Amino acid sequence: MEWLVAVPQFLAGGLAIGAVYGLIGAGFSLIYNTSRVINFAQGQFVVYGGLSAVSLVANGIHPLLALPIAVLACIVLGGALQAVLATARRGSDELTFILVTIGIAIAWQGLAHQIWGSGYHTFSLYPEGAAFVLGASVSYGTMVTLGVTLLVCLVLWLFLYRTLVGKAMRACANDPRVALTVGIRPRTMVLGAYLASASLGGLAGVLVTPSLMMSAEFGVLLGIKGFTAAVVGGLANPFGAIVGGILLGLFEGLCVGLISSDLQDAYAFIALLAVLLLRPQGLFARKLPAGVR
Amino acid sequence: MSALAQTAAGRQAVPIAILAALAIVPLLTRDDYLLGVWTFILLNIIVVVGLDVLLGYAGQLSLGHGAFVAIGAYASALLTTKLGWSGWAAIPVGMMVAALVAALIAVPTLRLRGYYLAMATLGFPILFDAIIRGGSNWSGGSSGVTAIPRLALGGVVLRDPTAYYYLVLAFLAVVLLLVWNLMESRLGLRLRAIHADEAAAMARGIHVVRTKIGVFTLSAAIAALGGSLYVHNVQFVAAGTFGLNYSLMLVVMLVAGGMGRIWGGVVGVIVLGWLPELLRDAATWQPVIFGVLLALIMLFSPSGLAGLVRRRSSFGPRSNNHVSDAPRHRTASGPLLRVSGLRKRFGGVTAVSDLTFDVAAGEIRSIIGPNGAGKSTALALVSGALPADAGSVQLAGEEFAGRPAHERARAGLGRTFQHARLIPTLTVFENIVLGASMLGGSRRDSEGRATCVLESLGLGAVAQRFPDEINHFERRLTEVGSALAARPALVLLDEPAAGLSAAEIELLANVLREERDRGTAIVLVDHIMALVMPLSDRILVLDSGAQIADGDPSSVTADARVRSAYLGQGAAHA
Amino acid sequence: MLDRNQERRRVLKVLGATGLATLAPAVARAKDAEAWRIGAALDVTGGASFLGVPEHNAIVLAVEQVNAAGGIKGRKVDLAFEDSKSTETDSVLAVRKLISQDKVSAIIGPSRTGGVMAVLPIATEAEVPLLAPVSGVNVVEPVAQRKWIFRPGQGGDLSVGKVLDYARRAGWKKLGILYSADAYGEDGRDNMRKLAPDFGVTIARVESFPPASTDLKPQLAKLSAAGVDAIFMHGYGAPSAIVYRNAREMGLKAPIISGHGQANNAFRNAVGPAVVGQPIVGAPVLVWNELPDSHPQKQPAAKFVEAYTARFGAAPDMFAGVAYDSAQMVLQAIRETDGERAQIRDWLENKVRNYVGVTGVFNFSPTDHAGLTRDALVMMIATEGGWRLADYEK
Repeated sequence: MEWLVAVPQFLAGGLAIGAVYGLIGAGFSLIYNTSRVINFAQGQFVVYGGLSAVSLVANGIHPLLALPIAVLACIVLGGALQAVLATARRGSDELTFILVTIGIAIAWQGLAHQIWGSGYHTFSLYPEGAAFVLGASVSYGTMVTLGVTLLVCLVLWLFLYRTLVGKAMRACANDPRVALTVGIRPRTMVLGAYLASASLGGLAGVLVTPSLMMSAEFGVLLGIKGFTAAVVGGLANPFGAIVGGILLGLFEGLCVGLISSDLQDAYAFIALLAVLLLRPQGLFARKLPAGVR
Repeated sequence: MSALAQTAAGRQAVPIAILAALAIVPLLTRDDYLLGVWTFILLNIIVVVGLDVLLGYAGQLSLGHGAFVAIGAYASALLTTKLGWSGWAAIPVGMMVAALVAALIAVPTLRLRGYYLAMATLGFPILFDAIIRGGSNWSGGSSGVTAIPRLALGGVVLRDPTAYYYLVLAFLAVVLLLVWNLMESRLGLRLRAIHADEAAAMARGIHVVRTKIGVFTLSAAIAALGGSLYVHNVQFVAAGTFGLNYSLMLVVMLVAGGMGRIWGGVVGVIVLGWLPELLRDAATWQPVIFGVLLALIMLFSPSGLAGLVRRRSSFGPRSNNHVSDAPRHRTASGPLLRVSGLRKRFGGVTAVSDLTFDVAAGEIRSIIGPNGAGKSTALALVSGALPADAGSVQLAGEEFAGRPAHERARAGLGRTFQHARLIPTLTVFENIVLGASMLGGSRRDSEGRATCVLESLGLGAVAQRFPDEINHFERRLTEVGSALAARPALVLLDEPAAGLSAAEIELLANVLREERDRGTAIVLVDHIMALVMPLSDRILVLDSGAQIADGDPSSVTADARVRSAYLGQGAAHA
Repeated sequence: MLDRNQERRRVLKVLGATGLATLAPAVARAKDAEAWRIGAALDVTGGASFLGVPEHNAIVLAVEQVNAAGGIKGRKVDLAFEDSKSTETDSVLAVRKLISQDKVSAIIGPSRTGGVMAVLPIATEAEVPLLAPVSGVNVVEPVAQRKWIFRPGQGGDLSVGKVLDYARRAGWKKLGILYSADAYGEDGRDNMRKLAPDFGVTIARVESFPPASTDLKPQLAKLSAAGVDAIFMHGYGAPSAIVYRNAREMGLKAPIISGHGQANNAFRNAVGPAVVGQPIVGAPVLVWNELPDSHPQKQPAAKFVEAYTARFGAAPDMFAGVAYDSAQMVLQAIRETDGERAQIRDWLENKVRNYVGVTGVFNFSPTDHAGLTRDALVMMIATEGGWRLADYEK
């Protein structure tokens, strides 16, 4: 039991990856709220963001410049995804969209394998080293990741609740037909949501790759965990998803430390099931998003 | 060809053809390796056929099916290697374990729908993987289980690839025939109904949750069978063998071949099962091709290859040989339906307040009122589609408040919906058989009853058509027929005359009168006075959730409150 | 409603698609009937591709070299290669194909212990000699049931023995084990548990990590709290790189000593400066230029490194060396027999005595299909540019 003092370390271990889950989850939430689609390919934005940055840096581009370029690449991907989904026939049901995004996720993952192989890659961004916070070693990289994520959280909140465009997006989520009547174009909003989601994912990728490395193989699992984050926080609520992600990361870290690391991926799944069954609207949303029960 | 499909022998044509074709394969390939690949294909066909029942027919987005294959595989592997069991004995145990696990998981997760269910099921392989890796003392951990013995038949170890191929084919035959016949039966109709429209299914008396759990269990057991047969061939299994990638591959194969047709899954496995072989040199492109294929198919041809071929229904009108046409609860004394104090609020809005009325057998009762009066809500409350906040609903003296829609349907409460909720993947005749099947009995009984209804509604000519191929009136009649085929004591009709011409309204009215004469009670909600006035014995008028008049047609039209509710002041027509 | 012709055409389309799919696999590989055929089933794609690609290269090199010298007894050598894709199922398919379709005389591979375990019964049943470039102990034990399987590589038990010997010299009494949750990692853990008492070392704590971990600080924290003198790490891939960085960030005092899973270039490039100064079990081929001239592996390793680098543009690592040795052994067997499967097997078991390879000096026997001793391994220390031979060896 002497290692109980290591509990803060367990928690700290989950912070960086929790931030990633949160950003992915926010992406899920944005897309779902504007178009009722669960984007299985969400995790791929993280992979492409991180690996693109790796390639750019390997080709001599300064990391700080590589960051926005990589995120831009993801935004393009996001737009492409939305364009593909828009070709779906009218009246396509949920199964159609789920399977289309799954197909795209598999295809993108395969493409990533083609380009970057199945190995792990990284690039240098953060200063080396760590600080001790409450008895836990927290790397500078983790601190930056967390900081940027919280900043994004704030920006997202301000955008959705304080700007006109953001409010329009929320109106769209509530009822696209009514939004139409007041001059909001749902299709523009939907495209915006995809682009925003992709940039969040790409940002997560570039933030986390220097600390935790990135591989083409991570996409699907990251997507599932990001979805869990969104569910925990409340699918209806993007910045709730970010908080949900951090909570999920902490939970995972705690379980890995206290129980066993063998079941690492299972903890997220158990959390997902628990939330779905006990409080499906998540911790921060008040009502259930449509089409759940 | 339709007629052939409907004979008892003709119905087996498809599975027999598939099995015959597969049986010839070893004769055409002398290569042990190719035969091995074909054996893998057979095993995947077994699993995909089971998955089709769940995903294609019942529409349940189970994306982690590999976990059940893994359960069967591990059960066989561990029982034979660690406990020395015979492989034959281990197979049914594996299937039962998978079925049990499925039933346990199903109860909580099948309450979810759509994406949530899909995501939850994606976690199964992950969870199973973790359990195996964590329990390495008994499970072999990540190293897996090796030296799994082969199956032996009467002292002969089944090592010869050809012999094993035929063994697997024999199992496939059992599974295929079983599943095919189940799906071509009334159970298949019910599953398609659940897939298309759960609310409509419940209105037809289908116990949706129980059926879904049953299908999940069956599907899992079949998957486990595939897993067991796999390990006795390959003699090795590890945690990652049937993981997430495998589960998604199953879905791609099923979707590409065509969901909900059984033979579609077979085609999908055969076509896509060979793709990795053909792509051996470009193997790294395989996921890209699979992914793009899946996306393209779902966008442009969601019914897959099988969608190119129209489904031939195995249900057809047959000669009328059943006895009584009488609706149920004929002998009830007192009102058939008694509603009192029914109330429903949505947030701040009271949709229905204190609704009280009754309906006698053989009576046609109408509910009218301006838009937003709460008529449809009232119907939904009575039928059980919507839970009431307060009030009682008694059918033939039995209290049904708080009880679900399918129980009320089974007790004799039929219903149609505002926008005709036919099952689009069933033919006209099948929709009516679906309604008739609530009464149980044999397949012939249901078909007989349905034929009766079909003919009395004049739908004989369109019996084998699908709902998107018939006109609006025919669709409406079909839905009414589907409700009537269950011989309800009382049927609730929500705006049946909407969109009908004068002549069609007249025809509908005749149908309803005939029903009434048989003793069925009818509650009709509609705007169209051309139908309501001549037909109704009594009319109830609602306005803003409250009832403002109740009486025979002439007194209601004369009522001043009714006129002002509809038309403001000084009404010219009513 | 479709008319009958349209309907019929559609049915034919579907039948056609299915028919094409079934006929397609008649695609057979072009074969030179006169050539000697050896097979390789390696993980060139998937998680273990960092093993499979160098292994494949090494075998290609060996075959090219022998063909350039005129082949064997006047006939060329043909390499039939299948990708086992880092999964058990594909390993099985690959080996089956090599055996029944390509009819190879011997097989080298698969690249991972898990893959080898899966194909053991197949090779044994088909009576085809299999040389596995892996380290798992169960691959060649119990020998009586592994008649057709050889493992010409550094076994996990040897690797662990090396670590323990180093530990004893360094005066470490308490070790912690950090292993990856797969066949390779479990092998290391089991070997360490078994052999530690022989060296006077106790295992204070055991931790594991899933193959796709991103953070190992919890495990390191627990190991550190158990008061270990050093941590034995047995795993491969990204998490193994992350371990070193995490340790550095945490200011972990205890050194991390790793099994040979880290002795490859992919890892060295990925981990960066965090590993500098840490001991790693490696093979002569990686530090050949530091070996004394009298070392039996110096010459073969030098030649191999030169040829490999010239052919593929990068230096080979440990398991490339093993694959090269495997190929050379098979080729030698063909030279000295008629090239039949049983003959190759017998040759390997009986004629490989003091066989000097790139990896070590091999001695197979009816009771030993592993063939190496601890001397085939060397302890290395990671440096800024790569590795160097540890002082312990000198």
